[in-house]
Amino acid sequence: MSCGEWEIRVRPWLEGLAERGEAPELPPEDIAAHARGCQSCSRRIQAGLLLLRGAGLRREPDPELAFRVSERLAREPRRALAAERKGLRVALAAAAVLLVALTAGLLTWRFPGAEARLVEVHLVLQAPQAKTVSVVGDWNAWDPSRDRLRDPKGDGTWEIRLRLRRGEDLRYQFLIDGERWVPDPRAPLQVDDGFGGTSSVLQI
Amino acid sequence: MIGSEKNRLAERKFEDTQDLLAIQETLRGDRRAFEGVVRRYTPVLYSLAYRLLGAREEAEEAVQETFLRAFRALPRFRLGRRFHPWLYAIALNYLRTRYRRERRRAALRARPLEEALDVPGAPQTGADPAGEVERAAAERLAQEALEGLPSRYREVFVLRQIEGLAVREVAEILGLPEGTVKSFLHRGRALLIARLADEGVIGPGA
Repeated sequence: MSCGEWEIRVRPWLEGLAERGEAPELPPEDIAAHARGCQSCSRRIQAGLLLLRGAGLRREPDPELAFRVSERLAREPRRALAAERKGLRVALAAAAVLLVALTAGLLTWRFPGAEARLVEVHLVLQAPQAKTVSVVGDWNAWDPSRDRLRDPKGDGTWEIRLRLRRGEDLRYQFLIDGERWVPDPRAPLQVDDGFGGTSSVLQI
Repeated sequence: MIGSEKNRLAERKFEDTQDLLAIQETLRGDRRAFEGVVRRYTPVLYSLAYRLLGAREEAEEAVQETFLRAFRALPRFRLGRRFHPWLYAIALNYLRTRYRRERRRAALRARPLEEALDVPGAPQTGADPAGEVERAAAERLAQEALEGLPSRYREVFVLRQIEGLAVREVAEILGLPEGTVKSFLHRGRALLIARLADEGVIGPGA
C-alpha cells in the first residue's frame, strides 16, 4: 500500500523528528487532517510518536509477578547461599588466574564414508576454577543446556566432542558457570558477536 | 520525553544504596530483604524483556529466570560494585539466548490483537473502544519495527528511550562507550522510522 501524503509529507516529518530526537504531543494540523481520513498513515504516525516518546511503550507486569518471583525464590534451598558464600573466597582469588589461564585447543577431523558430511569437532578449554562449562553456538541455538563440556580428570581441562554438519561457518562461545561468556582463545577466526563481545568461528 | 540525565543519576545513587543494604541483609540470611529488590526491579525487567522478546509469557519467564540466577549468584556479587548493572547483565545474557528471530516473528504474527489490548495495570477506560483498538494496532506496529532492529540497537533503544535509563547507565550495562550508545540511539531512531515506512501493510482494513 502506498500513500502519496505519506511519502511527501508524513515520512519526512517523522524522519526530521527522529533526527532531532523530538516527540511532540500532536502532529501539525495538515498531517492530523490527513491522518483522520487515512488509517494507514494514522497508525504509522501513532507508532512513530510512541517510539520517539518511548515511555508510552513501557509495559506494566501483572501485579502478581513480583510476588510469584519471591515465592519461587523462597523455595531455593537455604544452604545454597551459605555454601556458595564459602566458595566465594576461592572463586574471587581464582578469578584473575582464570582469565589469564584460559587456553584452548581445537582439533577437527572428518568422519569417513557415509557420514562425510558430519565433522567431529573436539573443543578443549582450560578453565581450572570453573564449575560448569557449556559451549553455545549456532548449531545448538545458543542454548547453554545442550552441549556441556566435561572435566573427567578434574584438572580444569574441559572438553567435548561434537558432530557438526560440514560446510557452514559456525559461531560459538563458551559459557562458564552460566554467566561468563568467553570466545575460544585458540580459534583462528573471531567475529563481533553483536553484543559488544567476540564470538569464535568454526570453519569446517 | 526522558527526564534530565542529572535527576536520573541522583535517583540512581539513592537506589544503589538501597540495593546494597538489601543485598547485605540477604547475604546475612534475611531473605525478606531480597523481596524489596524483586519488587523494585520486576517492572523494569518485565518491560525490557517484553520489548526485547515481544511476548508476555516469555517476558514473565525471563523475569523469573533473571531473579533466580541473580539470587543464586548473589554470593559472588562483589559489594563494591553497583547492583543494577549486574542484574541487567544477567537479564540480557538470558534474553540473548532467547532471541530467536524466526520463532519470535512467527509468534508475533500469530498473536491476537487482544493481547496488545490487554495491558495489566493500565486504566481500562472503556469509553473509546475504537481508539483503544487503534492504539493497540499502533503499538503492535511499533513493536514490529523494534523487532526489526539489529539486536544491539534494540537493546540501546529499549534501555534508554523506553526504560529511560541514563546514557551512562546504558553504556555500563552493555559495556559500550557512551559515544557509541548515543550514536546507536540516533541511528536506531532513523532505522525505526524507516521500518515503519516498510511496514506499509498493517492488516485488513489498513
